[in-house]
Amino acid sequence: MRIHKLHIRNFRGIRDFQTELRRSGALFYGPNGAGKSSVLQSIEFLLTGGVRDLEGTGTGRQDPEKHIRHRGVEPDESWVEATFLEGDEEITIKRTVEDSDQLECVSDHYELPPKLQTQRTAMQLSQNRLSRDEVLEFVTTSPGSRGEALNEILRVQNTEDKRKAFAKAVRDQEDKVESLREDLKKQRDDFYDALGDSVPEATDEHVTVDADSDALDVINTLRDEYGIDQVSELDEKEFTADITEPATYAKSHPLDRPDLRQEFESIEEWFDWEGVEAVESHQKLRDRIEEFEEDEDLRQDVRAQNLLTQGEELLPEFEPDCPLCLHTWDEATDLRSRIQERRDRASRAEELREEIEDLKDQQLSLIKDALSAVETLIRVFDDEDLEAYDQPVERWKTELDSFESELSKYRKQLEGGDVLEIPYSSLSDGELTDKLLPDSFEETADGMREQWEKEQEESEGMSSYRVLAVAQDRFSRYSEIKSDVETAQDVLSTLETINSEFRTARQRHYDRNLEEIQERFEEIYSALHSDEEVENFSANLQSTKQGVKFRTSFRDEDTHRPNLVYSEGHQDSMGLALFLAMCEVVGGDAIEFLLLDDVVTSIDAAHRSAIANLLGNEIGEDFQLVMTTHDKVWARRLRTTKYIQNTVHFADCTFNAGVHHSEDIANPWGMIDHYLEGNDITAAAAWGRKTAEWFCSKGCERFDAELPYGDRESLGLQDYFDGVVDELEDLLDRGNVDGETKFGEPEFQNKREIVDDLRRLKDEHIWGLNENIHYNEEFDASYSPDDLREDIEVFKELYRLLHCPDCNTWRKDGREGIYCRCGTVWKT
Amino acid sequence: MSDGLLNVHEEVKETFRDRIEDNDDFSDSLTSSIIELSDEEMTDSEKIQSVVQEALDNADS
Repeated sequence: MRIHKLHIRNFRGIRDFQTELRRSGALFYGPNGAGKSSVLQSIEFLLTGGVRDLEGTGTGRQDPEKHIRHRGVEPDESWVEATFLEGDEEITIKRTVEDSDQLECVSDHYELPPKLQTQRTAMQLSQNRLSRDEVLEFVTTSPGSRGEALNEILRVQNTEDKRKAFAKAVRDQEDKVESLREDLKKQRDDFYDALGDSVPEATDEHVTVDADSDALDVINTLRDEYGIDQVSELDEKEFTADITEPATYAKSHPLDRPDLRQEFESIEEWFDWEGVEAVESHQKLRDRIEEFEEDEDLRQDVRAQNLLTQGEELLPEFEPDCPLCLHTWDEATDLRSRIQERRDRASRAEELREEIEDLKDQQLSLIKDALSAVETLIRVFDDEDLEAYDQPVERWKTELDSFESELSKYRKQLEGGDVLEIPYSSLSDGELTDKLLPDSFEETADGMREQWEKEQEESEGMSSYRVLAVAQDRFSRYSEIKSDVETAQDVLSTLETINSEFRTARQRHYDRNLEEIQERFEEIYSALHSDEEVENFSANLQSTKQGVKFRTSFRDEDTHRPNLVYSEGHQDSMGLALFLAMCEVVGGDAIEFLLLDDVVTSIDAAHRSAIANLLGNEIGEDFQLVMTTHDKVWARRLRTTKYIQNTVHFADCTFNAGVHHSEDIANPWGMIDHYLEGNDITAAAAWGRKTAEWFCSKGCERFDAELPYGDRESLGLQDYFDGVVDELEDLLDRGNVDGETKFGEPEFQNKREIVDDLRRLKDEHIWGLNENIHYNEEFDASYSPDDLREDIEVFKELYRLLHCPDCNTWRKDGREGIYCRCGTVWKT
Repeated sequence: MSDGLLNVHEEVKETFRDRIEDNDDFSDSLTSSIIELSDEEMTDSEKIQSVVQEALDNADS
């Protein structure tokens, strides 16, 4: 079911455009922005209700409808209507932007015929539409996105998206299981730790718990202290079952806090190594600051850094104007590169600055834990007997506070960028060590720890119960995670099966289709490049777990990624060949028309010619081709082919007038003869009128004929005919011939008579064409083929006067008279 | 399928659904949850995970 007529109103840049497409299609050519692509988009909109180019990423989530209709036009005034033809069956459908979800059958049909429904499905799947963007994407995309660009050309992206989603679901679930297993291991270790750490204290036995059997032994040992039956397995969890919580267990003593162990360990670590490291780090910091103090260049570099940063921030905002005086600054780009060079030279200062920041951060981090620990100890021991430890603890805390405050202040200065303002500590290493690592406090801390441990031992009666309670709590958490792991593992197994089933389903269809597409692609590509070394050209198109793989040969036995060995132009034609192969394989006989939107971009003239030959002489036999191009030479080449005869020139597009177009008819009389031979008077008359309107309008343009003032769109055959005949009459009246002119006297007089007759016969002959065109009424043509042939012959005479049959160019008024490429036809 | 056109997406999806339905290891609720996934949902890995998780949770409860 092919497109027969198309009527577009207020769609994108088009105000009003009607055309009648030949069975083999039409070519729309013209400059960029003239509205060619809008014609193809209108067909897409008519069939699908959307325009793919206006949807998806990069469109700012704007309502596509806003950009589909011509600006300033109401949605109900923006519509596309087309008549499709299949044998005698004709169906007209229409879609307005206002009801873009509704496809209206204008002709007497309750529903779309199956064949038209198929074209609609193909359009929804983009199986019959290829745009320049897609080919460009295939050629120029980054290496990481080539797979997706190939999928787009082959129209399998949606299935590949599903493949990726199923595979990703499996990978994510694997990660989840792995993470849960790590968590499970940690919880299990915590459980063992709860038992292992406490058992020596509780039982005077040294037990290493590294298996469930060991854990069970410890639990039963602790339960034995209570004279309670042993538990037989860990899964029972109720380790404290039948054990009565000791009545003495109460948090009455301030030191009855097992968690203080961590605080004492932090203090211990500080005196063992963290404090030493903090002092060493401080020394390094002093050295770096000293380097700054002593090196004037570095200090200048630091000052320059601040200025350079400001300069870099200001440049883009003010460029090309100077930020100080706001006068245009011609050398902003040079300034930018000089700033960069200066910044490179000042890199040592930047490194030093970063090093100073890192050293301060390191010291702050080290001191944080020690400070937190001593604060906790002060708080706890304050309730007990802080006076016994008062002086060394408070003194040490004061030193830590002071050091921490100094570091924080410096850190703040650094954030403000004042590295040159930082004073460095006057304390020597030894003095700092005395302050931060005082022996007096270390001894005091040991004493505090002893007292705390003593208190812990005194509540030994509590230990067994407490160990069991903590262990039970941790085992409970461990069991929960274990259950989560099992559930996650079940989900993973299910997802793996689902993924496998999808891969199998995908592979089954891909294996069959990709091989056919590959074979056809090889044929098409070899035909396009028959003049080159492609005799042994081969391609490999196959489905893998990672996606569709595309490789080609290149003058050797190996296969290669095309982008690594072929030029952009070659890849361009590969993209087109892949798409056409895909259309033939997936479309079979079902796809009737193809929309090709300016698909030839990087291809040289010779290969464009080969593509024109392929499309116009071969592909056009199977598909109605509706194409656009901005390349006038290629358009001309296409018009010489068998199936591209109907071309429409889109000259320009203005906001108010919309697209200015004119229809070129490559073989104006061939179509009329074709229909006359088939005894189709209506079609022959319609083509006669269309042809006459075309060459009369062309004649008016070439001879600068006067036309009625008004809207160009409303002019018709009558206006153009009157215009051109009036002008010719005048030019012939004023004309003469001599030995230099193409016309001799007899031929000149003959043309004068023809034009006189045309004036007289005009009404009759135009009416003859009109009368035999059915328009919307049901009646048979009144003319016989011979009647119509007679009328057509009159118009043909006029055509031969306007268009030179020898040099095949349009004649024009100028120089010394009427001329064409052959020379002056007659003088005026 | 319409009139001879090879709709790869639909065919792959249909074959996939048939294979899921034929899988005896899957419960009825799990099977219906998977085959009822829409086109869009099939391209969303998180949705796929959650649908399977939910179906298995429901089967256990």
